[in-house]
Amino acid sequence: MISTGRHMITRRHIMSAISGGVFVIAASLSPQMATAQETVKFGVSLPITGDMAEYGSFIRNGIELAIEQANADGGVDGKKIELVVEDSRSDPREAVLVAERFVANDEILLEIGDFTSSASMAAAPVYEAAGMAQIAPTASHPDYSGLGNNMVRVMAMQQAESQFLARWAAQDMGKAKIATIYVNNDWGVQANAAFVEEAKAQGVEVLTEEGITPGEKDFAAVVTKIKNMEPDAVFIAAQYAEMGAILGQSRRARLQTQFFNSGAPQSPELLELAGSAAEGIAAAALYFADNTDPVSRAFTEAYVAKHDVKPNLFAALGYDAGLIAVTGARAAGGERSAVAPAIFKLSGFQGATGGFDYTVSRDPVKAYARTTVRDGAWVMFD
Amino acid sequence: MFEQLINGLTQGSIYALLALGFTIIFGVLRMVTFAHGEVFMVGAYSGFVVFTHLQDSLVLAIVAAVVTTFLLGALMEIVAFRRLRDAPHFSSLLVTIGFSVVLTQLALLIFGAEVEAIPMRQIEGLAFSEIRIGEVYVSYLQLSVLGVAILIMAATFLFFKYSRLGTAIRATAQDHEAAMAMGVDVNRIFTVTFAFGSMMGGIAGVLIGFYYNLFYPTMGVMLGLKAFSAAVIGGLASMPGAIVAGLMIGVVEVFSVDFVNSSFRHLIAFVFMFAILLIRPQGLFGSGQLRGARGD
Repeated sequence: MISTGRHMITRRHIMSAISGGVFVIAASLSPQMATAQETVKFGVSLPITGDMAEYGSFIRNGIELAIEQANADGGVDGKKIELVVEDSRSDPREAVLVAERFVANDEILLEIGDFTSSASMAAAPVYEAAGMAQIAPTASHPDYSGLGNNMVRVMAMQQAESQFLARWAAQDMGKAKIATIYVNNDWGVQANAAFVEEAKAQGVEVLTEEGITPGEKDFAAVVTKIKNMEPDAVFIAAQYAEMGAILGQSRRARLQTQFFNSGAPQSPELLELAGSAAEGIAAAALYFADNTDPVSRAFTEAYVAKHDVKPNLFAALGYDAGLIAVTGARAAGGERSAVAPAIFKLSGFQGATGGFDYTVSRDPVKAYARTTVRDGAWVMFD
Repeated sequence: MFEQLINGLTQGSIYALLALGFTIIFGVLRMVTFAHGEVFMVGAYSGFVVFTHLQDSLVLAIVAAVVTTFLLGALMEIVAFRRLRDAPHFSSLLVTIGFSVVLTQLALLIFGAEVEAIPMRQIEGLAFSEIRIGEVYVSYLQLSVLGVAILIMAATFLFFKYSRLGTAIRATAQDHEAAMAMGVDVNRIFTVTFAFGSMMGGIAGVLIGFYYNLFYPTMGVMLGLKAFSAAVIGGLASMPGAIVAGLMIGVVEVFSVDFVNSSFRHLIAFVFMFAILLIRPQGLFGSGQLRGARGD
């Protein structure tokens, strides 16, 4: 067993060394670098490889769209914005190493990332010590924004979404016995704890709370167990890859109940993965593709024009993080330490995931829409 | 209870198939391959490609995985391990790690990091069909996984016991110099064995890929680790050991979810394996008899 562990570490090191090398080469070969003299650099720390790479690529698409639009609109003080993307694999240890490289590079003005709360929070002290703004598109852990004066939260706090779902289940649907499944990481534990706390406060009996390993795809045992407990509803805190697998395997195990999800609302991928097993699930959405709000709609149209697929929440949050970064950079006059204070003076910010006011709170409060899946499409729940 | 037992046996039969690959390769070539989980992934993707682009047939997907991973195994053996036969063990071990990285990155380049799934309209019938046994329903795919795994294992036993090639492989495993002296083409045996072991991984891959309808570049990592552990628990060179240990780990995992909590699933599985090794350091079926067969 000991030797097995050692080999895993070896392999991981080799993998990260190789992927790190690839990105350094890619960055030095990028055409903008060779041609444009006057640039402003934004560091981007995201999972480009590993289990969470797909989320990283959506966020990156969103950021890139915002930066392209900003560059077309004059960049920052007439300088083009250039992204320096590094792969953290959303591994907290890697995220710290990426942070150290970014702060050591004088050309980098601010940072956008990481994907998971765990990775963002691990890297936060490095950015804070260097006075560099860390703009986290997806960190929803309650502790994140309190880690320093340079931590910028884009996502609403997970707690608010979980409480919204718990009240929906208990008050509006009258569910009395609920089981929960959550991904065992900082985000999932928080999402589950907030749901369970609110559900219990509403008088709901919580039958079991099942943690699953990130990246796990075998849920036959856990859904069979939950089926035998005969719940009125099941709350699942998981992104679409796990969520799709849980729904498919629940259907196979004949677990028929009302599913609530946090982590995959509005995701077209979930519909592909789960097919008809996704019908009727309940989810709270921050971003939805059919939103008629002008900023949100403009984002959706630009994204579809560029990528030919509808964006999801991750791409939308990446876009909003990009917008906030540009606003901060334009107001900072090239000073690293001036970026975050400039962002926190923002009031009436409008993004693809709604509007909010950093002057009121550094934890954006956003409105949720009740959504569900009907006939293979995300629609409003009525 | 019965449902959970079936869940455990299904999961366990995949561990067993993968562990069998480790065991066959170790038994003959005396080397551990850390690319096995990635070969498993290649098997899954080849089934996926055939199913989505050629014809939606599970049988054809399995055949595709068999052919691809057999050839891949043969290629890896001829290109790399043949040259390293007299090199220290760590060299070939490092090469297997290299192969695992190369295969993962290739999959990442070809298919991207996104989780791929067969479109539901193509697989809906297969995915959600079920068979009623008494009071409980068992899914058709679950039975297919179990059935194919048992079939492959039985065929492997018969192959090694009765076929000429199987006998030659067993002879080589016992003493490759003596086998060579008896006219066995040892190089060919090593290639075939590595290819055969890889093929077991490929079959496990296509089965699990269809069972969950999820295909992604890192799908073999955790399973590869568990299966390697199962092979060690089984005694590393024992085929029945690999199968029994694989099934046991599957069942232990499922019941640790049922009786305790899914958070503890991997913890309990590994503690269980650790406990077995404490009691029987040579593994369940390990006799130590094969050790030193090649003078090392």
